[in-house]
Amino acid sequence: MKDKKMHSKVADDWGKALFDRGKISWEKAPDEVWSALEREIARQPKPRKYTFSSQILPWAAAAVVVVLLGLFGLVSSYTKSVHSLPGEHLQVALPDGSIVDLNADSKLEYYPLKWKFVRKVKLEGEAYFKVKKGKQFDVVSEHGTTRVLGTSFTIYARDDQYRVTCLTGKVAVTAGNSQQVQLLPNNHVELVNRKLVVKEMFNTDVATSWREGHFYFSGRPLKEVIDEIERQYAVTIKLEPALSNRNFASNFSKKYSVEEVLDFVCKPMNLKFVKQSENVYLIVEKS
Amino acid sequence: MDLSPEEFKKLFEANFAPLRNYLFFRSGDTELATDIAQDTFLKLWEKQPLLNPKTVKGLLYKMANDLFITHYRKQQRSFQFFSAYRFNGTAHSPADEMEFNELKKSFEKALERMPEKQRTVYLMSRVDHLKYSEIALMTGISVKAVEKRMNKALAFLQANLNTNEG
Repeated sequence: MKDKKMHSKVADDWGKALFDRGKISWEKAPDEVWSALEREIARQPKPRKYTFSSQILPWAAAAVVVVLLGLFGLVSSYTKSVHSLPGEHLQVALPDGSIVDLNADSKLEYYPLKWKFVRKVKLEGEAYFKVKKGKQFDVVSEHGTTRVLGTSFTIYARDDQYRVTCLTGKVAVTAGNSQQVQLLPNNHVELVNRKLVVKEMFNTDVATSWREGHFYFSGRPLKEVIDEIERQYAVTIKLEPALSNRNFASNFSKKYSVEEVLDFVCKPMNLKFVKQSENVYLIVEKS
Repeated sequence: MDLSPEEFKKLFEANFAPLRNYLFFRSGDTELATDIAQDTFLKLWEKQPLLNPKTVKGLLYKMANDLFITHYRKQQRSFQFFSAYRFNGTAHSPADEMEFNELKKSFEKALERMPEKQRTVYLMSRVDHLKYSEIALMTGISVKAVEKRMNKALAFLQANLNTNEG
């Protein structure tokens, strides 16, 4: 017993020897505890039962609310997006039968699930709209919003430009510093230095000819023409910045090849184009 | 399954003592053990959960453990096991008695210092003579874990029981 270290078996044996001779002394005997419990039970004879309605129903109700909220969120925010690539024109049929023709490199977004209540689309690029008569129809772009009830019109919304041409019906355009104009057929409005400028008796062909593959430009900067050629033919055309604002007034047709078109555009302006690689061109001054 | 008062009494008679002992092994405090055991049964009656005879014991211990955690952790008292644990028996001789007292003192010290988890398992086994499977059910751990704790407890005793006092 004077050993410093012990084998654990010895320690265990000691423990056993110790506990063989003992018991716990309680202040309260089990009977006492039971009496106290009996009194408590008598006070609450009908304990609250955990039934379906008290346990599961609140959770089921909460779950239903969550699901409904989720569905509501989904219906409000679910968008369908249509994107036309350079070189392609697309037509979109909206849930109520309204039609949108998208020019190349344009994007249209709409909310199909709530179309019955709200007719709203987002447009980046250029499109022709034929809207079925009904609730008000909104087209929202970065620099302007156009609202109609049922009519046909075109919108050009690229870079800092916003142009709307009314073909039939009536169109309300909001842009710039909350300026608003109403357009009648053959009216056209565009942002010039952030102000809405209206042109009545507008040659609407200019706004719609792209749908047939013709591209009209009357007094537009060369850069805009070149950008459109890029979009329609899915090529890259580099333009020296100095040349960007040269004025261009003519047209081209998609039935011609890109090089024919470039030739046609460059010649009258004393410019020439150089092919740098497949689908990449550069326009320079004819020296 | 609804709990009738008779059934509840049967449940009490079968489980109160072992449950209270278990709580005593954990805390070394008889008053606390009694209170928590009593509260557990009361809670069981109040909750009247859908009782399955097979699982009611496990439920009882789970509720007791939960109550223990809330109440016991608040009071970090030292383990005064031997103030409530009494020994029977008369010593055979004064020498025996002295030896016995020395042993008891060593044990008290060792038990006090032993980690709670190991100690609880050790006492349940050596005082109440519970099987490892029963201990597992009550404490909510696996049988393997019980074995591990038991081995650690014995190793702890080995290292800490030192009769070369003084």
